[in-house]
Amino acid sequence: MSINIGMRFSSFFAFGPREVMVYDPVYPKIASSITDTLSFRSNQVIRSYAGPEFRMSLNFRLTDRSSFKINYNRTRQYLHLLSNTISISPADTWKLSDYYLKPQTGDQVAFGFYRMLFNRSIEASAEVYYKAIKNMVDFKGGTRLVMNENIEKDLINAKGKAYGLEMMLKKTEGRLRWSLGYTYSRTFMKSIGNFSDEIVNSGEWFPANFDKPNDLIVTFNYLFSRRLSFSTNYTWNTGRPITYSVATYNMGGLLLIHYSERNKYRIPGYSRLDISFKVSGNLRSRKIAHPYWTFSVYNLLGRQNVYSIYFRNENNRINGYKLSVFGQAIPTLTFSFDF
Amino acid sequence: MKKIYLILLILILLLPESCIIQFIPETEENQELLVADGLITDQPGENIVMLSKSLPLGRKNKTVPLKGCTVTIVDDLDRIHQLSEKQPGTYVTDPDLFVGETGRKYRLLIETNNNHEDNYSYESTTMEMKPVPPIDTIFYEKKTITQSDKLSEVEEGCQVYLNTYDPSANCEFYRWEFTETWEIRIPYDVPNNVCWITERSARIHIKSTTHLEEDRINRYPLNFISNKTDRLRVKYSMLVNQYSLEEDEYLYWEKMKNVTDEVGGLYDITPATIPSNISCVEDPFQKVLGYFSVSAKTSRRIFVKDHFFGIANPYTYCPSDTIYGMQPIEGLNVTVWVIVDMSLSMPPYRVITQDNNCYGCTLRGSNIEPPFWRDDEK
Repeated sequence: MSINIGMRFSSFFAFGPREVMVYDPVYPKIASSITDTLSFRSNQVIRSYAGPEFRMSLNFRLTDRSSFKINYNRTRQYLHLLSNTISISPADTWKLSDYYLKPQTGDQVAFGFYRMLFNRSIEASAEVYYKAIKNMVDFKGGTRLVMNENIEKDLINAKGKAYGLEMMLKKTEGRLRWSLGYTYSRTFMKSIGNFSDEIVNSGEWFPANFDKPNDLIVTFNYLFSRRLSFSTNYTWNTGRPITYSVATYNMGGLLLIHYSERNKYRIPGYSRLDISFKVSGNLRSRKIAHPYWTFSVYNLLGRQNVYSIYFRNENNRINGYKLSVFGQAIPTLTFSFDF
Repeated sequence: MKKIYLILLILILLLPESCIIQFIPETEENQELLVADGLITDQPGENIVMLSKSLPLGRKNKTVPLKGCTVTIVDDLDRIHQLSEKQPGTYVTDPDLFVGETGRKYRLLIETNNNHEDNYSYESTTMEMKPVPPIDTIFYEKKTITQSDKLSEVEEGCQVYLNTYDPSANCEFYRWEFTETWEIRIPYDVPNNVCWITERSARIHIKSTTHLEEDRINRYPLNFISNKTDRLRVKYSMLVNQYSLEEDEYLYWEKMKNVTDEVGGLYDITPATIPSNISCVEDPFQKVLGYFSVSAKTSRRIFVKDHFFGIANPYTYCPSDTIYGMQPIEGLNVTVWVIVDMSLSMPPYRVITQDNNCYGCTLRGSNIEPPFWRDDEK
């Protein structure tokens, strides 16, 4: 048995120059509730955050072929991802912690079991985890995330929880090598706030933007000879959550959209099969270079995987569209050589 | 052996393409929701509550009126006033029996009367009619759009501003709406060559003074009239209505403004559910769209009769054509409009024609002069 305990202390300073808006705490953070502007000079500290990050892991060697692991860790993250998933290409904005945005902290507990099977030719592992997250960020409705100067007024605080199961089987030796990995993982958020505009989905738990429950990856390699090999891999995962436009309505001559609850729906799942053949030139080591050809097909099944679903106002009509990139099989031929 | 991979050649036999196809998602939500758009004020006259249903996506924007409802307004003295359905989906108060009063509180009640089982009743929250001060001034400034140079002439637009002030500091949350009217003239001697066009503002104008020392608004930019239309050619007028709002309604309009200002814009807006002050009594989870507004109202009109440079003239390129013929000319005033008929009773027949927009202005506006049109000349 082995025990590993560690601690890391991290701190973060947000520096000027910057102008920070101060909002009346009695009102929701909106442009008209700004009461003051704080001006920070260059290199002046706007706000600092610091805290310990603990980690602990316990490793039990059960037999010479199997082991069991428990681990706990706390992470502090000072960079936040904001993404609006209903645009044509999901608009991601990265934001550092600042006057308003506190660092995101996560406490994770995981249990893992590892074992060698069939005379050590196959590695098997299974791991379950649970993570509690504080200070996740999401956005208020009806705001834009790109080119937004006072974005703090459009953000909301949320707590999060994530849990899942990861399983892996792997054969790493011999002519035939393969691996099979499956992950079931969920991430949920729950908005916390004092004002109605800070509450999403009535304050209930809802799937985070990156919640993709199922993820399966299969790879397969076969060496026909020293000069010819074949490999293939297959990926399948659940589509990411999306907020759909549900209905349109007319008020005072304006065309408006009514949306579903946030992240209530999902874009269709992703599935892709690739194959490749590699043919090497002769293997004489005296040669200056070792050339080889690779023929591969990306997305062999030609599946039109959906990249995004978005909505547009066209001539007073709201239409929905589905965008797929690489919607057919793409064969490539590559000639390379090693020195 | 040191390995360096050098990819010499990548041959892509088929070029990758992205593909966009139309897709209307299937959703389990009810797509036909109640849309209520109501406003009552302290001014005499009809107050209107419009009831309609929302539409599924991919349909042309139109209003589907909700007919046959029972619509009532109840005040804080429990006085009940029932509205009558003037047109399908348009419910109005009786001006002799109902005038809103500032300081009173009002509630809207709606009962659908379908012949089916699914009848619901809806109720708004209680809304107070807060007093509103008169509009202090509305004024305009000429704005230069392009400077004069050798190639182009000066182009000017007109920026209209509003000032308002509430010495009692009661109002704090304001909303404005305006109606534009302008005169157009066709430079030909045709039967209808002077008309007036009237259009309502589509954008949302709101402002709050809660964080100002005084309940005062200076130079609120209400409207910019560009030179791309002929609004400023002859004479232009704008009637501005100022409404008091409760804070809750202010927040409603603010969200609405965020969403509507960006429709079709470059940056996509995050999806927003705009909460209504109306809810369903039997099914509190049923979504209702729209708002029941209760506002005191004051109005002011401004006239703009000034010379602006570089204003668009839609009648510059009226194509004219002269038709000769030995036969009487057929199809006139169907595809071509007669400006001058020079036909004699005997051949050759000859008329000068033009397209219909140049022939008469009633396609764009009304040829009846608005009653207020000469108010500035008094």
